[in-house]
Amino acid sequence: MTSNADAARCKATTSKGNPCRNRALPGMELCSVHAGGGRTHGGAQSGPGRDEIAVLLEQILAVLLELRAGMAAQGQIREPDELTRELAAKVLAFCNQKMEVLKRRVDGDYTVDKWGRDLELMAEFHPLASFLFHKYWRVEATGLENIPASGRALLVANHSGVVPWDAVMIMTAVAEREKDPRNVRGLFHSWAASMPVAGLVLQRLGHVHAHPDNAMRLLSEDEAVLVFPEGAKGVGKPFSERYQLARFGRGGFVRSALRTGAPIIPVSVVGAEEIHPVMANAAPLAQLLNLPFLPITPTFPLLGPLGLIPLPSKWSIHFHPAIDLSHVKHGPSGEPLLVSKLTSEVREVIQQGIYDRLKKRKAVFW
Amino acid sequence: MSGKKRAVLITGVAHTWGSRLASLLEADPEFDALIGIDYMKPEKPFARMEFFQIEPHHPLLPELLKVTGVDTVCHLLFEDAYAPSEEVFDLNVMGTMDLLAACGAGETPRVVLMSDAKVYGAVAENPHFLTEDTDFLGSYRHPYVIHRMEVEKIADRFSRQNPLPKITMLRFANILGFGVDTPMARYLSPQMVPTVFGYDPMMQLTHVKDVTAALYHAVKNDVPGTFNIAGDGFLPLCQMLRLGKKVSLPFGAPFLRLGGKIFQKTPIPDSLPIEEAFLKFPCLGDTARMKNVLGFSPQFTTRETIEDFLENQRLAKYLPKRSRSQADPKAAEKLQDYLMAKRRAQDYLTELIESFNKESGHDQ
Repeated sequence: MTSNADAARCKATTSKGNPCRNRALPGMELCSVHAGGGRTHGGAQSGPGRDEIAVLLEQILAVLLELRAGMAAQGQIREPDELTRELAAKVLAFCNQKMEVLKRRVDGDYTVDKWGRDLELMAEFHPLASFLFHKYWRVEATGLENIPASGRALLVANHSGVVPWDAVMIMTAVAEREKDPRNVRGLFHSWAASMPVAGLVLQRLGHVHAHPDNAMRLLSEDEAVLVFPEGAKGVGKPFSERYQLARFGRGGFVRSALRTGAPIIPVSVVGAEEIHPVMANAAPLAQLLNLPFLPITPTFPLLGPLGLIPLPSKWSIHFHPAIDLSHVKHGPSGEPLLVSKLTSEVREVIQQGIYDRLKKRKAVFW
Repeated sequence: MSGKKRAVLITGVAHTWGSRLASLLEADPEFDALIGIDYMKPEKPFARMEFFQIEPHHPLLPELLKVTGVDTVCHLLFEDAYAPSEEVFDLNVMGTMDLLAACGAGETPRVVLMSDAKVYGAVAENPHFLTEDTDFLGSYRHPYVIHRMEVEKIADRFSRQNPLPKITMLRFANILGFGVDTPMARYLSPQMVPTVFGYDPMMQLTHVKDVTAALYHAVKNDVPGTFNIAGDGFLPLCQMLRLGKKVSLPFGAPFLRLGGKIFQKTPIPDSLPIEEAFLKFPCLGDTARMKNVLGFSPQFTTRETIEDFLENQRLAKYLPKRSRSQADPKAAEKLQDYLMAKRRAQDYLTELIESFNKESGHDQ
């Protein structure tokens, strides 16, 4: 073994007079350094430091080449087949395209609408939403035809599941429907707007801060608006109270719809309650961190950030027939009564829709 | 007011907006009598404006307004201060108060005031677009915002108690233009701009030319009320920086706030000329009333304003320090006249000497 290794060494001597310790090239007596032109180590032209690095690199290369030759001889390396090559080309094209987009965006060449929505970013985010919709939660969306193809509409849904994934799923359902897909504007609570990153991401993905003025302005611009009247009370409610609707705010959403003549479309979401089962609410800590609530779930904060991964429950979303308000006549003093009547009516429709779906649901996760 | 000759008094004619508005009004024959006041001397003399170097506190101001029959007072004497200063407060806030009092005593029918959209404040709870009757929320550190809020309060109280003068209040969104010193211009001038990490608010800009145009429009047309003035369109802050290839330095909001507070006590109080709240949340004026009621439409959009600013900023690096355009174009003519006169005088002198010599030779 040793003699064999010695025999493979280079026969040349270095500039210092020592025998060269490089391995000789296969079929030759000299190593790769000495083979070309008979140069010696540490030649006068270049500094010794640089030369040593070059030698080292050459040695590594030689070893790698030898290794590869050995492996090829034993049949351990196969030439990349058609499939691998195709995949590599695809990955390369994908990276190139993303780099193009990134380059353009760094140059400031993109458009953000007046509400802060960036359609390009939404398109980048869509594959994730689509995966969650079709593969992860296997959402069954029904009654999509109740949403008008154009013009104002106010979607009112029940809120649940700690992280507001239900908003994303409802928006994906409407954006992916076969006939007249459209982008829905979700409304979010102002504390989310005051959070760094979260507020910005929501805004860029087409959500708007839930202020009555904003809702009214969006509706009068003939947008479809999604609102969760339960707000933070809905998302943070304990697991034992799942599918029981919390108070519907102060009926502000009905007032916006009444004043703009937009139809109200109640939406019942089933399945979102189980993605993060809330066992308790760490209220003092939440107060300290300026959050509306801090839930404790079986996985959070036990598993840290991993606990933020939602459970893959099976969802169904039903869009109820629209409640038309454009012909509702009322005097100036009649509005408060009408608002409270309509609020409880919408709440009843959503609650009934949830019960109907729960009756048919045989299992939570499939 | 067509057909009738008008008399206008402008305050702050030695400052940016006053001098710019003055030159616009001087070119309009409709304005017959023009009076300008300021506490300091203007850089160059006016073509036909009567200038008095007085402060708005001057006791003779009501009499001046009455005697000259001024129909509109445009109050533009306001200085942007970045650190608290009693002197500037006296000028900005007390000056406005005394001027309104003088207008009341001098029976002036109309006053045009300049304000800033920053008085609404940038808070998460505000609606995305702010109409003119939105309440002012938020508390601020920079005197240039605080003083505007004080002025707004004074004007509001004054108009509730006195039927005349009627007040036209113009609330300008971030004013930007190269070579004009505004908080936004100071903020965007350096190559590295501090921003707040995790926030990218929509912004609205007003071009400096639109500011003078809006003031001129408000003086010319009699439309009392409060109006948001801003260019069309909105841009996220980061996109504005990217358009200028500027580097944004994202700081955590508390650090930026603390930094601003500390720097305000130092000789460079304008190190963060725009407070971090305006770098976190949008403060966008709804300009529907400007278009429909005031009837003013700005010439520059927000995007055109920032691009114009950036282009001029880039070009400024390559321009010579003393611009040739500063030289008087009439100077060459004047110089020629001067030389001609000199030559003529010299000719006359030599002629005189020659004739004298001749005479004396004749005598010899």
